[in-house]
Amino acid sequence: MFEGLYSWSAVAPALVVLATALVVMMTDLFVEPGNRIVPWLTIAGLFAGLVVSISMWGTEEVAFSGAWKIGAFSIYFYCIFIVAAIITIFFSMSHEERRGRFPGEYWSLIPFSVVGMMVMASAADLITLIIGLETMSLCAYVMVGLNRGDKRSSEGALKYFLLGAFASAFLLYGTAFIYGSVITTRFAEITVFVSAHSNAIPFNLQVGAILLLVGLGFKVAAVPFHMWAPDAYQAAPTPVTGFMATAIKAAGFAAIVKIFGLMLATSALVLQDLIWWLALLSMIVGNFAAVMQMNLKRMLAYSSIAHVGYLLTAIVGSDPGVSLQGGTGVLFYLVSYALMTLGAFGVLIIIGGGEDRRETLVDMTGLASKSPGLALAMTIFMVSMSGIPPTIGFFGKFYVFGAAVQSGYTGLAVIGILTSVVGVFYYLRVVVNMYMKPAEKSFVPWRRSRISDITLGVLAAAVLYIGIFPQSLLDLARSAFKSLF
Amino acid sequence: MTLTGYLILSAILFTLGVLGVLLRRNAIMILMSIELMLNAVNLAMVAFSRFIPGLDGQVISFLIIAIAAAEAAVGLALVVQVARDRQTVDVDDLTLLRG
Repeated sequence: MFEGLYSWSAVAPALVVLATALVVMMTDLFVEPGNRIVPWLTIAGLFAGLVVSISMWGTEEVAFSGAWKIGAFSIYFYCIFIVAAIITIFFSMSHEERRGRFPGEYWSLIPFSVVGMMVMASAADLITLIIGLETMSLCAYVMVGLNRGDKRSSEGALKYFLLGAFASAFLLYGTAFIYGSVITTRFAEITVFVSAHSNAIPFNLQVGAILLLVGLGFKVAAVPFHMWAPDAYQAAPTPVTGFMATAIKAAGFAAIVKIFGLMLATSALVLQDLIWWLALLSMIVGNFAAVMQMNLKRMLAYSSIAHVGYLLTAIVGSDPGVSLQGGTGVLFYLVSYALMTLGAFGVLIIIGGGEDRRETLVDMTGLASKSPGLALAMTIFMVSMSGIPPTIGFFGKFYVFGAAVQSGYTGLAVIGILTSVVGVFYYLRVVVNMYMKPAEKSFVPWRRSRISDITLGVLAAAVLYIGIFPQSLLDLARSAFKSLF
Repeated sequence: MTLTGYLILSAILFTLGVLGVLLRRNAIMILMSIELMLNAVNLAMVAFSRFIPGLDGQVISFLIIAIAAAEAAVGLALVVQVARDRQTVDVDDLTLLRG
Protein backbone atom coordinates (compact mmCIF):
# COMPACT_ATOMS: atom_id res chain seq x y z
CA MET A 1 0.00 0.00 0.00
CA PHE A 2 2.71 2.46 0.90
CA GLU A 3 5.01 1.70 -1.98
CA GLY A 4 5.00 4.79 -4.16
CA LEU A 5 3.94 7.06 -1.32
CA TYR A 6 4.98 10.01 -3.31
CA SER A 7 6.78 10.43 -6.54
CA TRP A 8 7.86 13.50 -8.44
CA SER A 9 7.95 11.76 -11.79
CA ALA A 10 4.26 10.79 -11.60
CA VAL A 11 3.23 14.43 -11.25
CA ALA A 12 5.95 15.94 -13.46
CA PRO A 13 3.67 17.03 -16.36
CA ALA A 14 1.16 18.63 -14.00
CA LEU A 15 3.96 20.36 -12.09
CA VAL A 16 5.40 21.84 -15.29
CA VAL A 17 2.02 23.32 -16.20
CA LEU A 18 1.47 24.53 -12.62
CA ALA A 19 4.89 26.23 -12.67
CA THR A 20 3.93 27.83 -16.00
CA ALA A 21 0.77 29.24 -14.47
CA LEU A 22 2.65 30.69 -11.50
CA VAL A 23 5.45 32.18 -13.61
CA VAL A 24 2.94 33.71 -16.04
CA MET A 25 0.95 35.18 -13.16
CA MET A 26 4.07 36.80 -11.70
CA THR A 27 5.45 37.96 -15.06
CA ASP A 28 2.20 39.73 -15.78
CA LEU A 29 2.82 41.97 -12.77
CA PHE A 30 6.14 43.24 -14.13
CA VAL A 31 5.37 44.00 -17.78
CA GLU A 32 3.11 46.71 -19.11
CA PRO A 33 -0.46 45.56 -19.89
CA GLY A 34 -0.88 43.98 -23.29
CA ASN A 35 2.72 42.86 -23.62
CA ARG A 36 2.83 39.86 -25.95
CA ILE A 37 5.51 38.17 -23.86
CA VAL A 38 2.86 36.91 -21.43
CA PRO A 39 0.84 34.75 -23.89
CA TRP A 40 4.01 33.52 -25.57
CA LEU A 41 5.45 32.53 -22.19
CA THR A 42 2.23 30.62 -21.47
CA ILE A 43 2.53 28.82 -24.78
CA ALA A 44 6.18 27.97 -24.10
CA GLY A 45 5.35 26.55 -20.69
CA LEU A 46 2.39 24.55 -21.99
CA PHE A 47 4.56 23.25 -24.80
CA ALA A 48 7.15 22.13 -22.25
CA GLY A 49 4.36 20.35 -20.38
CA LEU A 50 3.33 18.67 -23.64
CA VAL A 51 6.89 17.49 -24.29
CA VAL A 52 7.22 16.11 -20.75
CA SER A 53 3.85 14.34 -21.10
CA ILE A 54 4.71 12.75 -24.43
CA SER A 55 8.12 11.65 -23.18
CA MET A 56 6.33 9.70 -20.44
CA TRP A 57 4.14 7.77 -22.90
CA GLY A 58 4.44 4.08 -22.12
CA THR A 59 5.34 4.50 -18.46
CA GLU A 60 2.83 3.68 -15.81
CA GLU A 61 3.06 4.64 -12.17
CA VAL A 62 0.79 4.63 -9.13
CA ALA A 63 1.75 7.18 -6.51
CA PHE A 64 0.49 9.01 -3.42
CA SER A 65 -0.72 5.76 -1.81
CA GLY A 66 -2.94 4.96 -4.72
CA ALA A 67 -4.63 8.35 -5.21
CA TRP A 68 -2.78 9.13 -8.43
CA LYS A 69 -2.18 6.97 -11.47
CA ILE A 70 -0.32 8.17 -14.50
CA GLY A 71 -0.44 5.97 -17.57
CA ALA A 72 -1.20 6.12 -21.27
CA PHE A 73 -4.83 7.11 -20.50
CA SER A 74 -3.83 10.20 -18.51
CA ILE A 75 -1.15 11.18 -21.00
CA TYR A 76 -3.60 10.89 -23.90
CA PHE A 77 -5.86 13.33 -22.07
CA TYR A 78 -2.94 15.60 -21.08
CA CYS A 79 -2.21 16.01 -24.78
CA ILE A 80 -5.84 16.92 -25.56
CA PHE A 81 -5.94 19.51 -22.75
CA ILE A 82 -2.59 21.10 -23.52
CA VAL A 83 -3.09 21.25 -27.29
CA ALA A 84 -6.58 22.73 -26.79
CA ALA A 85 -5.11 25.28 -24.37
CA ILE A 86 -2.33 26.28 -26.78
CA ILE A 87 -4.80 26.70 -29.65
CA THR A 88 -7.07 28.71 -27.33
CA ILE A 89 -4.19 31.06 -26.56
CA PHE A 90 -3.41 31.53 -30.26
CA PHE A 91 -7.06 32.38 -30.88
CA SER A 92 -7.16 34.62 -27.79
CA MET A 93 -4.32 36.69 -29.21
CA SER A 94 -6.20 37.30 -32.45
CA HIS A 95 -9.40 37.87 -30.45
CA GLU A 96 -7.58 40.61 -28.52
CA GLU A 97 -6.75 42.42 -31.77
CA ARG A 98 -10.46 42.62 -32.55
CA ARG A 99 -12.25 42.95 -29.24
CA GLY A 100 -9.81 44.62 -26.90
CA ARG A 101 -7.45 43.27 -24.32
CA PHE A 102 -8.01 40.49 -21.86
CA PRO A 103 -6.99 41.28 -18.29
CA GLY A 104 -3.51 39.90 -17.55
CA GLU A 105 -4.77 37.16 -15.25
CA TYR A 106 -6.49 35.52 -18.21
CA TRP A 107 -3.24 34.00 -19.45
CA SER A 108 -2.53 32.31 -16.12
CA LEU A 109 -6.12 31.10 -15.66
CA ILE A 110 -5.79 28.84 -18.72
CA PRO A 111 -2.79 26.84 -17.40
CA PHE A 112 -4.33 26.78 -13.92
CA SER A 113 -7.48 25.15 -15.26
CA VAL A 114 -5.33 22.76 -17.33
CA VAL A 115 -3.67 21.66 -14.07
CA GLY A 116 -7.11 20.88 -12.67
CA MET A 117 -7.95 18.83 -15.76
CA MET A 118 -4.68 16.93 -15.53
CA VAL A 119 -5.46 16.08 -11.90
CA MET A 120 -8.87 14.79 -13.07
CA ALA A 121 -7.34 12.67 -15.83
CA SER A 122 -4.86 10.96 -13.53
CA ALA A 123 -6.88 10.83 -10.31
CA ALA A 124 -7.39 7.34 -8.89
CA ASP A 125 -9.41 8.61 -5.95
CA LEU A 126 -12.79 10.33 -5.86
CA ILE A 127 -11.65 13.22 -3.68
CA THR A 128 -8.54 13.86 -5.80
CA LEU A 129 -10.78 13.89 -8.85
CA ILE A 130 -13.22 16.36 -7.32
CA ILE A 131 -10.45 18.71 -6.24
CA GLY A 132 -9.09 18.66 -9.79
CA LEU A 133 -12.58 19.34 -11.08
CA GLU A 134 -13.00 22.30 -8.72
CA THR A 135 -9.63 23.75 -9.74
CA MET A 136 -10.70 23.54 -13.37
CA SER A 137 -14.22 24.87 -12.80
CA LEU A 138 -13.29 27.84 -10.62
CA CYS A 139 -10.95 29.07 -13.36
CA ALA A 140 -13.67 28.50 -15.96
CA TYR A 141 -16.28 30.54 -14.02
CA VAL A 142 -13.90 33.49 -13.93
CA MET A 143 -12.93 33.18 -17.60
CA VAL A 144 -16.60 33.24 -18.68
CA GLY A 145 -17.05 36.55 -16.86
CA LEU A 146 -14.01 38.23 -18.39
CA ASN A 147 -15.85 40.43 -20.91
CA ARG A 148 -15.83 43.32 -18.48
CA GLY A 149 -18.42 45.95 -19.24
CA ASP A 150 -20.65 43.48 -21.05
CA LYS A 151 -23.64 42.70 -18.87
CA ARG A 152 -24.22 39.42 -20.63
CA SER A 153 -20.79 38.13 -19.67
CA SER A 154 -21.24 38.57 -15.93
CA GLU A 155 -24.77 37.17 -16.16
CA GLY A 156 -23.57 34.03 -17.94
CA ALA A 157 -20.71 33.62 -15.48
CA LEU A 158 -23.04 33.84 -12.49
CA LYS A 159 -25.47 31.32 -13.97
CA TYR A 160 -22.60 28.97 -14.80
CA PHE A 161 -21.17 29.37 -11.32
CA LEU A 162 -24.42 28.77 -9.44
CA LEU A 163 -25.25 25.59 -11.35
CA GLY A 164 -21.63 24.40 -11.30
CA ALA A 165 -21.37 24.81 -7.52
CA PHE A 166 -24.77 23.12 -7.15
CA ALA A 167 -23.42 20.17 -9.17
CA SER A 168 -20.24 20.00 -7.08
CA ALA A 169 -22.35 19.62 -3.95
CA PHE A 170 -24.08 16.62 -5.54
CA LEU A 171 -20.74 15.09 -6.48
CA LEU A 172 -19.43 15.51 -2.95
CA TYR A 173 -22.60 14.13 -1.37
CA GLY A 174 -22.36 11.09 -3.65
CA THR A 175 -18.73 10.68 -2.63
CA ALA A 176 -19.77 10.76 1.05
CA PHE A 177 -22.21 7.89 0.52
CA ILE A 178 -19.73 5.83 -1.47
CA TYR A 179 -17.13 6.44 1.23
CA GLY A 180 -19.66 5.37 3.83
CA SER A 181 -20.36 2.02 2.22
CA VAL A 182 -16.91 1.14 0.84
CA ILE A 183 -14.81 2.81 3.63
CA THR A 184 -12.47 4.28 1.02
CA THR A 185 -12.55 6.64 -1.94
CA ARG A 186 -9.86 4.86 -3.99
CA PHE A 187 -11.08 3.73 -7.42
CA ALA A 188 -9.27 0.39 -7.25
CA GLU A 189 -10.85 -0.64 -3.96
CA ILE A 190 -14.30 0.59 -4.99
CA THR A 191 -14.05 -1.50 -8.19
CA VAL A 192 -13.22 -4.60 -6.15
CA PHE A 193 -16.05 -3.85 -3.71
CA VAL A 194 -18.61 -3.33 -6.49
CA SER A 195 -17.76 -6.59 -8.25
CA ALA A 196 -17.78 -8.49 -4.94
CA HIS A 197 -21.22 -7.14 -4.01
CA SER A 198 -22.78 -7.17 -7.48
CA ASN A 199 -25.71 -9.32 -6.32
CA ALA A 200 -26.46 -7.22 -3.21
CA ILE A 201 -25.49 -3.59 -3.73
CA PRO A 202 -25.67 -1.65 -0.42
CA PHE A 203 -28.26 1.12 -0.39
CA ASN A 204 -25.67 3.81 0.38
CA LEU A 205 -23.59 2.84 -2.64
CA GLN A 206 -26.64 3.00 -4.90
CA VAL A 207 -27.54 6.48 -3.62
CA GLY A 208 -23.94 7.63 -3.96
CA ALA A 209 -23.67 6.39 -7.54
CA ILE A 210 -26.83 8.24 -8.62
CA LEU A 211 -25.69 11.47 -6.93
CA LEU A 212 -22.35 11.20 -8.76
CA LEU A 213 -24.17 10.76 -12.06
CA VAL A 214 -26.25 13.89 -11.41
CA GLY A 215 -23.14 15.88 -10.54
CA LEU A 216 -21.11 14.80 -13.56
CA GLY A 217 -24.19 15.13 -15.78
CA PHE A 218 -24.29 18.81 -14.85
CA LYS A 219 -20.58 19.23 -15.50
CA VAL A 220 -20.68 17.81 -19.04
CA ALA A 221 -24.12 19.37 -19.74
CA ALA A 222 -26.15 16.23 -20.45
CA VAL A 223 -29.92 16.78 -20.77
CA PRO A 224 -31.78 17.36 -18.35
CA PHE A 225 -28.83 19.05 -16.61
CA HIS A 226 -27.88 21.28 -19.55
CA MET A 227 -29.67 24.60 -18.95
CA TRP A 228 -26.51 26.51 -18.06
CA ALA A 229 -24.60 25.55 -21.19
CA PRO A 230 -26.15 27.76 -23.91
CA ASP A 231 -26.06 30.84 -21.65
CA ALA A 232 -22.49 30.29 -20.51
CA TYR A 233 -21.31 29.51 -24.06
CA GLN A 234 -22.91 32.63 -25.47
CA ALA A 235 -21.74 34.88 -22.64
CA ALA A 236 -18.09 33.83 -22.59
CA PRO A 237 -15.48 35.48 -24.83
CA THR A 238 -15.40 33.24 -27.93
CA PRO A 239 -11.92 31.71 -27.28
CA VAL A 240 -13.10 30.74 -23.79
CA THR A 241 -16.21 29.14 -25.29
CA GLY A 242 -14.01 27.01 -27.51
CA PHE A 243 -11.88 26.04 -24.52
CA MET A 244 -14.97 25.10 -22.47
CA ALA A 245 -16.48 23.06 -25.26
CA THR A 246 -13.33 21.03 -25.85
CA ALA A 247 -10.91 20.76 -22.93
CA ILE A 248 -13.43 21.01 -20.09
CA LYS A 249 -15.76 18.56 -21.81
CA ALA A 250 -12.88 16.13 -22.40
CA ALA A 251 -11.93 16.34 -18.70
CA GLY A 252 -15.52 15.56 -17.74
CA PHE A 253 -15.47 12.53 -19.97
CA ALA A 254 -12.13 11.36 -18.53
CA ALA A 255 -13.98 11.23 -15.20
CA ILE A 256 -17.09 9.59 -16.69
CA VAL A 257 -15.09 6.84 -18.40
CA LYS A 258 -13.22 6.06 -15.19
CA ILE A 259 -16.24 6.24 -12.87
CA PHE A 260 -19.24 5.03 -14.88
CA GLY A 261 -17.39 3.17 -17.61
CA LEU A 262 -15.29 1.06 -15.26
CA MET A 263 -15.57 1.64 -11.53
CA LEU A 264 -19.35 1.52 -11.07
CA ALA A 265 -20.05 -0.47 -14.23
CA THR A 266 -22.44 -3.23 -13.24
CA SER A 267 -26.05 -3.69 -14.13
CA ALA A 268 -26.75 -4.30 -10.42
CA LEU A 269 -26.61 -0.51 -10.05
CA VAL A 270 -29.49 1.13 -11.91
CA LEU A 271 -27.03 3.52 -13.58
CA GLN A 272 -27.22 1.86 -17.00
CA ASP A 273 -30.85 2.85 -17.50
CA LEU A 274 -30.22 6.37 -16.28
CA ILE A 275 -27.26 6.85 -18.63
CA TRP A 276 -29.41 5.43 -21.45
CA TRP A 277 -31.98 8.17 -20.80
CA LEU A 278 -29.31 10.87 -20.51
CA ALA A 279 -27.88 9.82 -23.88
CA LEU A 280 -31.29 9.69 -25.55
CA LEU A 281 -32.50 13.04 -24.20
CA SER A 282 -29.18 14.77 -24.92
CA MET A 283 -29.22 13.66 -28.56
CA ILE A 284 -32.86 14.64 -29.12
CA VAL A 285 -32.99 17.92 -27.19
CA GLY A 286 -29.51 19.01 -28.29
CA ASN A 287 -30.16 18.52 -31.99
CA PHE A 288 -33.70 19.87 -32.14
CA ALA A 289 -32.92 22.93 -30.00
CA ALA A 290 -29.87 23.68 -32.17
CA VAL A 291 -32.14 23.97 -35.24
CA MET A 292 -33.95 26.94 -33.66
CA GLN A 293 -30.79 28.92 -32.89
CA MET A 294 -29.84 31.90 -35.01
CA ASN A 295 -26.84 32.71 -32.80
CA LEU A 296 -23.98 30.44 -33.82
CA LYS A 297 -22.46 30.24 -30.34
CA ARG A 298 -25.80 29.05 -28.95
CA MET A 299 -26.15 26.67 -31.87
CA LEU A 300 -22.74 25.17 -31.14
CA ALA A 301 -23.69 24.96 -27.45
CA TYR A 302 -26.74 22.85 -28.24
CA SER A 303 -24.73 20.84 -30.74
CA SER A 304 -22.18 20.13 -28.00
CA ILE A 305 -25.05 18.82 -25.87
CA ALA A 306 -25.95 16.51 -28.75
CA HIS A 307 -22.33 15.35 -28.98
CA VAL A 308 -22.42 14.52 -25.25
CA GLY A 309 -25.37 12.28 -26.08
CA TYR A 310 -23.40 10.52 -28.84
CA LEU A 311 -20.48 9.98 -26.46
CA LEU A 312 -22.76 8.57 -23.76
CA THR A 313 -24.14 5.94 -26.17
CA ALA A 314 -20.69 4.31 -26.08
CA ILE A 315 -20.66 4.32 -22.26
CA VAL A 316 -24.17 2.86 -21.82
CA GLY A 317 -23.55 -0.80 -22.45
CA SER A 318 -20.87 -1.21 -19.81
CA ASP A 319 -21.38 -4.41 -17.87
CA PRO A 320 -18.82 -5.27 -16.60
CA GLY A 321 -16.93 -2.23 -17.80
CA VAL A 322 -17.17 -0.31 -21.03
CA SER A 323 -16.08 -2.43 -23.99
CA LEU A 324 -12.70 -1.94 -25.63
CA GLN A 325 -14.43 -0.60 -28.72
CA GLY A 326 -16.60 1.76 -26.68
CA GLY A 327 -13.71 3.18 -24.66
CA THR A 328 -11.57 3.58 -27.77
CA GLY A 329 -14.49 5.24 -29.54
CA VAL A 330 -14.97 7.78 -26.74
CA LEU A 331 -11.28 8.67 -26.67
CA PHE A 332 -11.15 8.99 -30.46
CA TYR A 333 -14.36 11.05 -30.51
CA LEU A 334 -13.02 13.51 -27.93
CA VAL A 335 -10.03 14.32 -30.14
CA SER A 336 -12.17 14.64 -33.25
CA TYR A 337 -14.69 16.83 -31.43
CA ALA A 338 -11.89 19.01 -30.03
CA LEU A 339 -10.33 19.62 -33.46
CA MET A 340 -13.52 20.57 -35.29
CA THR A 341 -15.05 22.58 -32.45
CA LEU A 342 -11.91 24.63 -31.87
CA GLY A 343 -11.83 25.27 -35.62
CA ALA A 344 -15.46 26.41 -35.75
CA PHE A 345 -14.97 28.79 -32.82
CA GLY A 346 -11.76 30.01 -34.44
CA VAL A 347 -13.72 31.07 -37.53
CA LEU A 348 -16.27 32.82 -35.30
CA ILE A 349 -13.45 34.72 -33.58
CA ILE A 350 -12.09 35.96 -36.91
CA ILE A 351 -15.42 37.20 -38.26
CA GLY A 352 -16.48 38.55 -34.87
CA GLY A 353 -14.59 41.81 -35.13
CA GLY A 354 -15.77 45.31 -34.51
CA GLU A 355 -18.13 46.60 -31.88
CA ASP A 356 -21.22 44.53 -32.67
CA ARG A 357 -21.12 40.84 -32.02
CA ARG A 358 -20.96 39.11 -35.38
CA GLU A 359 -21.90 35.64 -34.37
CA THR A 360 -25.26 34.93 -35.99
CA LEU A 361 -26.23 33.01 -39.09
CA VAL A 362 -26.86 36.26 -40.95
CA ASP A 363 -23.26 37.29 -40.37
CA MET A 364 -22.11 34.22 -42.27
CA THR A 365 -23.91 35.16 -45.50
CA GLY A 366 -21.62 35.90 -48.39
CA LEU A 367 -18.51 34.86 -46.50
CA ALA A 368 -17.40 32.69 -49.43
CA SER A 369 -16.97 35.66 -51.75
CA LYS A 370 -15.41 37.83 -49.08
CA SER A 371 -12.94 35.31 -47.74
CA PRO A 372 -12.89 31.98 -49.62
CA GLY A 373 -10.25 30.42 -47.37
CA LEU A 374 -12.19 31.09 -44.20
CA ALA A 375 -15.40 29.79 -45.77
CA LEU A 376 -13.63 26.63 -46.90
CA ALA A 377 -12.25 26.00 -43.40
CA MET A 378 -15.69 26.54 -41.84
CA THR A 379 -17.19 24.17 -44.40
CA ILE A 380 -14.69 21.46 -43.45
CA PHE A 381 -15.50 21.87 -39.74
CA MET A 382 -19.27 21.87 -40.31
CA VAL A 383 -19.13 18.82 -42.58
CA SER A 384 -17.02 17.04 -39.98
CA MET A 385 -19.42 17.95 -37.17
CA SER A 386 -22.34 16.54 -39.11
CA GLY A 387 -20.38 13.31 -39.53
CA ILE A 388 -19.98 13.14 -43.30
CA PRO A 389 -16.90 11.31 -44.66
CA PRO A 390 -14.04 11.87 -45.42
CA THR A 391 -13.68 13.81 -42.18
CA ILE A 392 -12.68 12.88 -38.67
CA GLY A 393 -16.22 13.44 -37.41
CA PHE A 394 -17.48 10.53 -39.50
CA PHE A 395 -15.11 8.06 -37.85
CA GLY A 396 -15.87 9.40 -34.37
CA LYS A 397 -19.59 8.76 -34.85
CA PHE A 398 -18.90 5.44 -36.58
CA TYR A 399 -16.90 4.13 -33.59
CA VAL A 400 -19.25 5.25 -30.80
CA PHE A 401 -22.41 4.04 -32.56
CA GLY A 402 -20.61 0.82 -33.50
CA ALA A 403 -19.79 0.28 -29.83
CA ALA A 404 -23.44 0.86 -28.86
CA VAL A 405 -24.61 -1.72 -31.44
CA GLN A 406 -22.01 -4.19 -30.23
CA SER A 407 -23.22 -3.94 -26.64
CA GLY A 408 -26.79 -4.55 -27.77
CA TYR A 409 -28.11 -0.99 -27.72
CA THR A 410 -29.08 -0.90 -31.40
CA GLY A 411 -32.15 1.24 -30.69
CA LEU A 412 -30.02 3.96 -29.14
CA ALA A 413 -27.59 3.88 -32.07
CA VAL A 414 -30.47 4.17 -34.56
CA ILE A 415 -31.86 7.18 -32.68
CA GLY A 416 -28.35 8.62 -32.66
CA ILE A 417 -28.07 8.29 -36.42
CA LEU A 418 -31.56 9.74 -36.98
CA THR A 419 -30.87 12.76 -34.75
CA SER A 420 -27.53 13.36 -36.47
CA VAL A 421 -29.51 13.74 -39.69
CA VAL A 422 -31.21 16.69 -37.97
CA GLY A 423 -27.67 17.84 -37.17
CA VAL A 424 -26.74 17.76 -40.86
CA PHE A 425 -29.54 20.28 -41.48
CA TYR A 426 -28.31 22.98 -39.14
CA TYR A 427 -24.60 22.47 -39.82
CA LEU A 428 -25.07 22.65 -43.57
CA ARG A 429 -27.36 25.68 -43.18
CA VAL A 430 -24.20 27.56 -42.20
CA VAL A 431 -22.48 26.36 -45.37
CA VAL A 432 -25.48 27.35 -47.51
CA ASN A 433 -25.45 30.80 -45.95
CA MET A 434 -21.77 31.22 -46.70
CA TYR A 435 -21.86 30.05 -50.31
CA MET A 436 -25.34 30.60 -51.72
CA LYS A 437 -26.65 33.78 -50.16
CA PRO A 438 -25.49 37.32 -50.89
CA ALA A 439 -24.09 39.22 -47.95
CA GLU A 440 -26.99 40.62 -45.96
CA LYS A 441 -24.79 42.83 -43.84
CA SER A 442 -21.90 44.91 -44.99
CA PHE A 443 -18.64 43.47 -43.80
CA VAL A 444 -16.46 45.39 -41.46
CA PRO A 445 -13.03 44.60 -42.87
CA TRP A 446 -10.97 42.69 -40.36
CA ARG A 447 -7.24 42.69 -39.88
CA ARG A 448 -5.91 39.36 -40.96
CA SER A 449 -3.93 37.68 -38.27
CA ARG A 450 -1.34 35.20 -39.41
CA ILE A 451 -1.43 33.22 -36.15
CA SER A 452 -5.09 32.36 -36.36
CA ASP A 453 -4.91 31.74 -40.13
CA ILE A 454 -2.15 29.18 -39.62
CA THR A 455 -3.93 27.58 -36.64
CA LEU A 456 -7.16 27.25 -38.62
CA GLY A 457 -5.29 25.77 -41.56
CA VAL A 458 -3.61 23.20 -39.36
CA LEU A 459 -6.92 22.28 -37.69
CA ALA A 460 -8.70 21.88 -41.04
CA ALA A 461 -5.84 19.79 -42.39
CA ALA A 462 -5.92 17.58 -39.29
CA VAL A 463 -9.68 17.09 -39.62
CA LEU A 464 -9.24 15.93 -43.21
CA TYR A 465 -6.02 13.95 -42.71
CA ILE A 466 -7.28 11.91 -39.74
CA GLY A 467 -10.59 11.58 -41.59
CA ILE A 468 -8.75 9.73 -44.35
CA PHE A 469 -6.14 7.90 -42.22
CA PRO A 470 -7.77 7.35 -38.81
CA GLN A 471 -5.75 4.26 -37.94
CA SER A 472 -2.82 5.80 -36.05
CA LEU A 473 -5.05 7.94 -33.80
CA LEU A 474 -7.29 4.91 -33.26
CA ASP A 475 -4.27 2.85 -32.16
CA LEU A 476 -3.24 5.58 -29.72
CA ALA A 477 -6.77 5.75 -28.31
CA ARG A 478 -6.87 1.97 -27.95
CA SER A 479 -3.59 1.71 -26.07
CA ALA A 480 -4.62 4.68 -23.89
CA PHE A 481 -7.86 2.98 -22.96
CA LYS A 482 -6.16 -0.37 -22.36
CA SER A 483 -3.84 1.23 -19.82
CA LEU A 484 -6.81 1.68 -17.47
CA PHE A 485 -6.96 -2.02 -16.72
CA MET B 1 -27.25 8.84 18.20
CA THR B 2 -26.98 6.15 15.54
CA LEU B 3 -25.44 6.50 12.09
CA THR B 4 -28.91 6.55 10.54
CA GLY B 5 -29.85 9.49 12.73
CA TYR B 6 -26.88 11.53 11.52
CA LEU B 7 -27.54 10.55 7.91
CA ILE B 8 -31.20 11.61 8.17
CA LEU B 9 -30.14 14.95 9.63
CA SER B 10 -27.60 15.37 6.85
CA ALA B 11 -30.21 14.45 4.21
CA ILE B 12 -32.62 17.04 5.68
CA LEU B 13 -29.92 19.73 5.55
CA PHE B 14 -28.99 18.76 1.98
CA THR B 15 -32.64 18.86 0.89
CA LEU B 16 -33.09 22.27 2.50
CA GLY B 17 -30.07 23.43 0.53
CA VAL B 18 -31.46 22.03 -2.75
CA LEU B 19 -34.82 23.66 -2.08
CA GLY B 20 -33.06 26.93 -1.31
CA VAL B 21 -31.18 26.84 -4.61
CA LEU B 22 -34.37 26.05 -6.53
CA LEU B 23 -36.75 28.43 -4.75
CA ARG B 24 -34.79 31.48 -3.54
CA ARG B 25 -34.32 34.20 -6.16
CA ASN B 26 -31.53 36.19 -4.51
CA ALA B 27 -28.08 35.10 -5.72
CA ILE B 28 -26.57 35.53 -2.23
CA MET B 29 -29.24 33.27 -0.73
CA ILE B 30 -28.58 30.67 -3.44
CA LEU B 31 -24.89 30.83 -2.60
CA MET B 32 -25.70 30.27 1.08
CA SER B 33 -27.94 27.33 0.20
CA ILE B 34 -25.04 25.76 -1.69
CA GLU B 35 -22.89 26.22 1.42
CA LEU B 36 -25.61 24.45 3.39
CA MET B 37 -25.46 21.53 0.96
CA LEU B 38 -21.68 21.31 1.36
CA ASN B 39 -22.03 21.33 5.15
CA ALA B 40 -24.56 18.50 4.91
CA VAL B 41 -21.83 16.61 3.04
CA ASN B 42 -19.38 17.38 5.85
CA LEU B 43 -21.81 16.08 8.42
CA ALA B 44 -22.29 12.85 6.47
CA MET B 45 -18.53 12.42 6.03
CA VAL B 46 -17.78 12.94 9.73
CA ALA B 47 -20.67 10.70 10.80
CA PHE B 48 -19.51 7.88 8.52
CA SER B 49 -15.95 8.16 9.75
CA ARG B 50 -17.18 7.98 13.36
CA PHE B 51 -18.87 4.63 12.70
CA ILE B 52 -16.43 2.93 10.32
CA PRO B 53 -12.69 2.33 10.80
CA GLY B 54 -10.25 5.01 9.65
CA LEU B 55 -10.23 8.78 9.78
CA ASP B 56 -10.50 9.47 6.03
CA GLY B 57 -13.93 11.05 6.36
CA GLN B 58 -12.75 13.65 8.83
CA VAL B 59 -9.75 14.56 6.68
CA ILE B 60 -12.00 14.81 3.61
CA SER B 61 -14.31 17.20 5.45
CA PHE B 62 -11.37 19.62 5.84
CA LEU B 63 -10.79 19.46 2.09
CA ILE B 64 -14.49 20.15 1.53
CA ILE B 65 -14.29 23.21 3.79
CA ALA B 66 -11.42 24.46 1.62
CA ILE B 67 -13.45 23.84 -1.56
CA ALA B 68 -16.40 25.70 -0.03
CA ALA B 69 -14.19 28.66 0.83
CA ALA B 70 -12.75 28.84 -2.69
CA GLU B 71 -16.22 28.62 -4.20
CA ALA B 72 -17.51 31.37 -1.91
CA ALA B 73 -14.63 33.65 -2.90
CA VAL B 74 -15.21 33.25 -6.64
CA GLY B 75 -19.00 33.25 -6.28
CA LEU B 76 -19.16 36.44 -4.26
CA ALA B 77 -16.83 38.16 -6.74
CA LEU B 78 -19.18 37.21 -9.58
CA VAL B 79 -22.20 38.41 -7.57
CA VAL B 80 -20.45 41.74 -6.97
CA GLN B 81 -19.77 42.11 -10.69
CA VAL B 82 -23.42 41.42 -11.55
CA ALA B 83 -24.58 43.83 -8.84
CA ARG B 84 -22.30 46.54 -10.31
CA ASP B 85 -23.57 45.89 -13.81
CA ARG B 86 -27.27 46.17 -13.02
CA GLN B 87 -27.91 47.10 -9.38
CA THR B 88 -29.72 43.83 -8.60
CA VAL B 89 -28.76 40.28 -7.66
CA ASP B 90 -32.16 38.75 -8.31
CA VAL B 91 -31.65 35.80 -10.64
CA ASP B 92 -35.08 36.39 -12.23
CA ASP B 93 -33.71 39.66 -13.59
CA LEU B 94 -30.87 37.89 -15.38
CA THR B 95 -32.67 37.66 -18.69
CA LEU B 96 -30.26 39.01 -21.29
CA LEU B 97 -29.34 35.50 -22.41
CA ARG B 98 -32.37 33.71 -23.78
CA GLY B 99 -33.39 31.54 -26.67
